[in-house]
Amino acid sequence: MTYSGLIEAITRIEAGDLLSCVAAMDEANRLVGEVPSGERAVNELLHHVIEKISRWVRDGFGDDRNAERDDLISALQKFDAPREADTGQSGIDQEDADYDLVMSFIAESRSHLEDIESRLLSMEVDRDPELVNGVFRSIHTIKGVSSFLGLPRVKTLSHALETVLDEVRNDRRSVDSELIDILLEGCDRLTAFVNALDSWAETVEPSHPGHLAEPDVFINDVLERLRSLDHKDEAPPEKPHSLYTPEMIDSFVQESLEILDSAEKALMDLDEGAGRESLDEAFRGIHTIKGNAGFFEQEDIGQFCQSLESVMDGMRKGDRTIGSGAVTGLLDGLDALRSHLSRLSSDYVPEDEEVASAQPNRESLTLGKVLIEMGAVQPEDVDAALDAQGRRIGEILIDSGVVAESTVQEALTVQNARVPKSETGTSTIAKRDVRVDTGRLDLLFTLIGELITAHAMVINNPELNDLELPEFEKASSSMGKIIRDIQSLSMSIRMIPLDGLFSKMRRLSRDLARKFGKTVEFLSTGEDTEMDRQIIEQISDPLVHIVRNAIDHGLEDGATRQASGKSESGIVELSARYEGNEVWISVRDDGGGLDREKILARAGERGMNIGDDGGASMEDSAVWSLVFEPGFSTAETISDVSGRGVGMDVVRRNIEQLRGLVNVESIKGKGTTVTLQIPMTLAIIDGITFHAGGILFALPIADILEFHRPDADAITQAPGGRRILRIRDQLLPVITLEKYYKLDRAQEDNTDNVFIILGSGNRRAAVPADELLGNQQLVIKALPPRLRGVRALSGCAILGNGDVCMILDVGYLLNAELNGDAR
Amino acid sequence: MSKTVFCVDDSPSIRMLVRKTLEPEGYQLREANNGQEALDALAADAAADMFIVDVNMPVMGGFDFVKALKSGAAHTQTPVVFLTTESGDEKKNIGKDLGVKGWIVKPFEGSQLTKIVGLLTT
Repeated sequence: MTYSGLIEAITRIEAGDLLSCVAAMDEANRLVGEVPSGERAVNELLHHVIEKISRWVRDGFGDDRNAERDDLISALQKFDAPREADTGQSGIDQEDADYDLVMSFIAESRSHLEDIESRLLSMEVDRDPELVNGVFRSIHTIKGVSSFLGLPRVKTLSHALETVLDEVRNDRRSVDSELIDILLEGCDRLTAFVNALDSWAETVEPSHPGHLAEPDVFINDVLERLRSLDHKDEAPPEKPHSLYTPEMIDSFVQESLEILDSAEKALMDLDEGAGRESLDEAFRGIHTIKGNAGFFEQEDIGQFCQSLESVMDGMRKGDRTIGSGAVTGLLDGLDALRSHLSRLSSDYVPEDEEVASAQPNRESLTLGKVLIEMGAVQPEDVDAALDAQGRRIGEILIDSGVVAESTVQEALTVQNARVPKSETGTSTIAKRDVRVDTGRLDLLFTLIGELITAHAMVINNPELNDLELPEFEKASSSMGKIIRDIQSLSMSIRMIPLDGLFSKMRRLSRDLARKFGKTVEFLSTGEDTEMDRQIIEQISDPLVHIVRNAIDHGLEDGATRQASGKSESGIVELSARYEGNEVWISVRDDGGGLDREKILARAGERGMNIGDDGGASMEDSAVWSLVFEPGFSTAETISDVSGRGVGMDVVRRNIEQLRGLVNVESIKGKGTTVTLQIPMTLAIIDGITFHAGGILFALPIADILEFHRPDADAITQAPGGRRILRIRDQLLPVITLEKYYKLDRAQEDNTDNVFIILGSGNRRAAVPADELLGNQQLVIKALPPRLRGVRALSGCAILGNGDVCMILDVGYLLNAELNGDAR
Repeated sequence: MSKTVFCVDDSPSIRMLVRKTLEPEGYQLREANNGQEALDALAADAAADMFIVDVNMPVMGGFDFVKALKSGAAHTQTPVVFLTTESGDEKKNIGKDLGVKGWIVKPFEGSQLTKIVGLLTT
C-alpha cells in the first residue's frame, strides 16, 4: 500500500484552495478502504489526516497551515511503500453528458453571444469602457461554463479572446476595425460551437444522451490572428478580410443545394414538356446562387453560374429548341455545381483519392461553354414575358401544409387591438425556456384554427335562428372570449422581436460597406416590434436584397457625397412600426435616389407600358413601380449581382406572397425609402361578405376604404367600355365582378347598388355589390384544385352557416386594373 | 433540519449545476444573479447557512458582496466560498482578508462541492 498518491495530493493543497483539500480527503478515504484489517496504526493515521484537512477547510485558510501540512507528509512518508500508478483526479465524468447543462449552456451562451456582437459593433464607434467590460464578462462566463462540459477548444478560444479584451480594458491595446473584425470572427466561431451543440442535442435522448464529444470547429486561424495582433506585420494573406465564417458558408451551401434540387426538378419537368415557367424557375435559382457566391467571393462558382444562366437565357428567348441534349447538359452543370458546393461545406470529408481542389469539375465547365457556343447566345436581357403568367394562388398561402381541403391553416390573428409589446429580455436573469417540437406547435395552431371555425359554426348555426337563448348566449360568448385569448396567446408564441433580423442587417451593412469601400452609418428603430417568426424568415432575403441595393447602388461613394455637400458616411436606416393591421418595415438611405429618367428610358427600351408621352405624365410612384417588373434593370454590366433584372421582382413577389406590399419613395439627390408593408394576420382575416353576380365573395376589411351609394349620374362609361365612378373629386375605375370573372348573368344596372371602395397603396377601385351580408372572421383555406388557376382569389372560407365564399385578392385585382386588364 | 446554501452567480447554468448537486443531498438552495440581488433577498429573508459566490458578476461582484455581507450583523460568521476560473494570487489575498473560507475553481466535480458544503455547514 502506497501513500505516494496521498502525499502528492496533500502537497498540492494550497491555502484556500478547497478543491485541493477535498481531493486529498478523497484520496485518504479511498486508502482507508484498502487498509488490511488489523492495521490499526495505518487506520488511525489516515483518519487523523482526514480530520486535519477537514479542520483546514472549516477554519478558513492561512499560511500557518503549511507547518501542519509538512508534519502530515513526513508522517506518511514513514509508511510509504514502492510507488504504484497514480490514480489522479477522475476529472469530469466522461460517460453521460449532463443534458440539462448542455441546454442551459446553449441558451445562456446564445444570449451572451448576441450581446457580445452588438457591443462589439458599438465599440467600433463608441469608446465607452462599459462595452468592453460587458464583452469581457460575457466571454468569461462562457469560458467558465464550458469548462464543465469538457470543451477545451471553446475554453482555449474564449481565453484567447478574453486576454485581448483584458488588454483593451487596461488600455494596453487600442480598438480598431481590424481588432473588431477578429473579435467578431472569434464570436462567430463560438456561435458555431453552440450551433453544433444544438444539433447534437436534437439527435440524442435527453435522459440518456451519451458522451458529448467537442464539436470540430476550426479555431486555429482565429487563434493565429489573435496572436499576430501583437506583431506589426499583416495578418496572414490568404484571408485579408474574413467577412464570412464557416458557419455562414455552410448556410450558403445548404441553401444553394436546396435551390439546385428545385432547379433540377424544374429542368426535368421542362424535359417532359412543361412550359416556360420551369425554365424561369431554374434560371432564377441559378441566379440566386450566383449572387450569393459573389458575396462569398467564390469566383469559380459565380462564373460557372454565369455560363449556365447564359445558356438558359438563350433558351428563354425561344430561338433554340429545348431538346433533351441541352437539358442533359444543364443537369450535368448542376451536378458539377453541387459537388463543388459540397466541398465548401465545413463538414466535408474528402474521399481518399480525391484531391480537394478548388476548381469545379473541368469537364462540365467546358460543356457549359460548348452549349453557349452552340446556342449563339447573346448575354442579353431577360424576356419580359416572364410576368405574363398569372400568379399561382397556391403560392399566396404560407406554411401551406395544405394537403386536402379539410386542412385548415393555423390561426394567427389580431383581434382588434395590436399585439402588446413584450419585454425583450433586458433582465439578466435568463427566462425559463422550454424546447418544443415545432411540428407539435404547428399542429396546435392548426387545431386552434379549426376551433375557431367550429365555434363559429356552433354560434351561427341556422337552427338557433328563431330561438331565444339568453343563457346559451352568455355561455357561448364566454367561450368565444376564451377562444380569442387562446388565439392571441398562440400568436404571441410565434412572435419574436425584429431585433435579431435587424442585427443581421447591421452586420451585413457593415460587411457590405467594407466590401464596396464605402462608410455606412447604420441606424435602426423599432427593433422590439414583434412579428411572426416564420414571416421574419420570409422577409429576411428580400430585406438583404434591399439593403444590398441601398449600399451598392443607392449610396454614392465618399468623394461624390462630399462633393455634393453630404457627409462622407452614408446612412442606412431600418425602422419598423405597427400600422393598423400591419407591420411596416422601412429601409431608408440618404444616397442619390432613383433616377426617374433612366428608369423611364429603360422601361421604354424594354417595351413596357409607359404611355404615349414616354412616361412624362406618370406619377413618381408609378415610375418607381416599374423597377419591380420582371426583366427590368439599369445596371450596366451583366455580371452585376442584380444585373439580370431578377432581384427586385423577386423581392416584390416574396412580399406579395405574404399578402404584403412594397412601397418606394425617392427624391433625387436625397435618397430612397423602401417600405415593406406586411399584414400580421396570415390565415385569419376580418372580412366583409357580399353577393355579386350570384357568387358569395369576401373582402378583407383592411383593404376596404368605404362603402358608397352613388347617385345615378356618378357612374359614367369611358371609351372602351370601362365604367368610372365619381366620388367627391376622385374618379375611380369600377371593377364589375360579373364581368371580371365572366359570370353568366344578365348585365345588371347596378346604379342603386352599394359600391365597395377598395384601396391598396396608391391604387383605388370601386366594386359593386348586389348585397352586403356582414362582417366576420374568416379562416382562409386553400382553393380546391380546380379553382387554383382562377385569378385574384386568395382563397376561400367557410361561413358560419356552412356556405363557402371566395376571398378576393385585392392586390391582384388592383394590379390588373392598373395594367388595363380588368373592365 | 436542512441547511440553506445561497448561490450567487450570474450564470444560470452554474446556478443550475449547484442546485442539481446540492438539492438531492438535502440542502435548501437560494439563488441570486449578482451581489446586489443577493443583498436585497437577504434583507427580506436572512436565512443562509453558507454562501457560494462567483467573483465576476455584473452590478455587484463577489468581493463587494462579501464586504457588504460581512459588515452587516446577520452573517459575520457564515462560511463563504468563492467560485472562480483562476486562482490568481491577488484574489487569494483579498479573499483571505475578507474572511472567506477559500475558493473553488471551475470546473469542479459535484461530489467535491458536496463535501465542501458538508464540511462547512456542520
